[in-house]
Amino acid sequence: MKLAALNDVPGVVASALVGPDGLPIESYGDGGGALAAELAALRGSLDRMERRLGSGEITRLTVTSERIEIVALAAGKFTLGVALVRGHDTRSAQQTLAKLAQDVAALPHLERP
Amino acid sequence: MLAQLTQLVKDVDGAWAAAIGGMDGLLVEGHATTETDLSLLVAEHAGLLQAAATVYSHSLNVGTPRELYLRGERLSVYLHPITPGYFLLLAVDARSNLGQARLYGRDAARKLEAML
Repeated sequence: MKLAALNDVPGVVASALVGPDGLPIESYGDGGGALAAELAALRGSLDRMERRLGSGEITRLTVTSERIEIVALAAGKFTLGVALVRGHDTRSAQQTLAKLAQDVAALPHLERP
Repeated sequence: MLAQLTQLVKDVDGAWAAAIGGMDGLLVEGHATTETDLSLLVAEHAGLLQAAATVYSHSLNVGTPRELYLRGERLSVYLHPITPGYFLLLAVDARSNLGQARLYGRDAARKLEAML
């Protein structure tokens, strides 16, 4: 129920909390499962970008498409993200995500080789 | 059917093979990015899926399995029944995206059902 606070944010159509394996720990909305899987895939690419560019940890990702906007935050090995209908103000979603990220970072880590 | 399997392997991070198998253990169609014996993979996993189906349907009486994931030291496989007689096999590596495997595997199985 960590993501429940995002349901009240105007414009939100889906949200997800996911670990490196792409399986949703929690998700809401019709596209929540797909959002979780793709956020995990993007996170893998960002890890490579951090390493290759020497940018330091990438903590926030925003994507704008024809129909939706996605805002995602890295929290330890986990990724929190929300999809909003394009045109809605994303600031409220970003603030809520930032608060949730503090709780999420304390979750136990998943077994990965 | 080969196009669906090829696309599935492309779309799932860490996937290296996809196949359609019969519950009789025979390979119907398959695509792999590495040299591998898909016939053997299908034959062995048909037996595992059959065993799971027997336990769920008869011993536990909870219906048929909707999906089965097995993670080994050097092989991980996601299985999704397409029809009572056929199943989808997706072989993935240890760092694969299981969320993608489940979602896109299910989607591929739905599309393949219409072709079988």
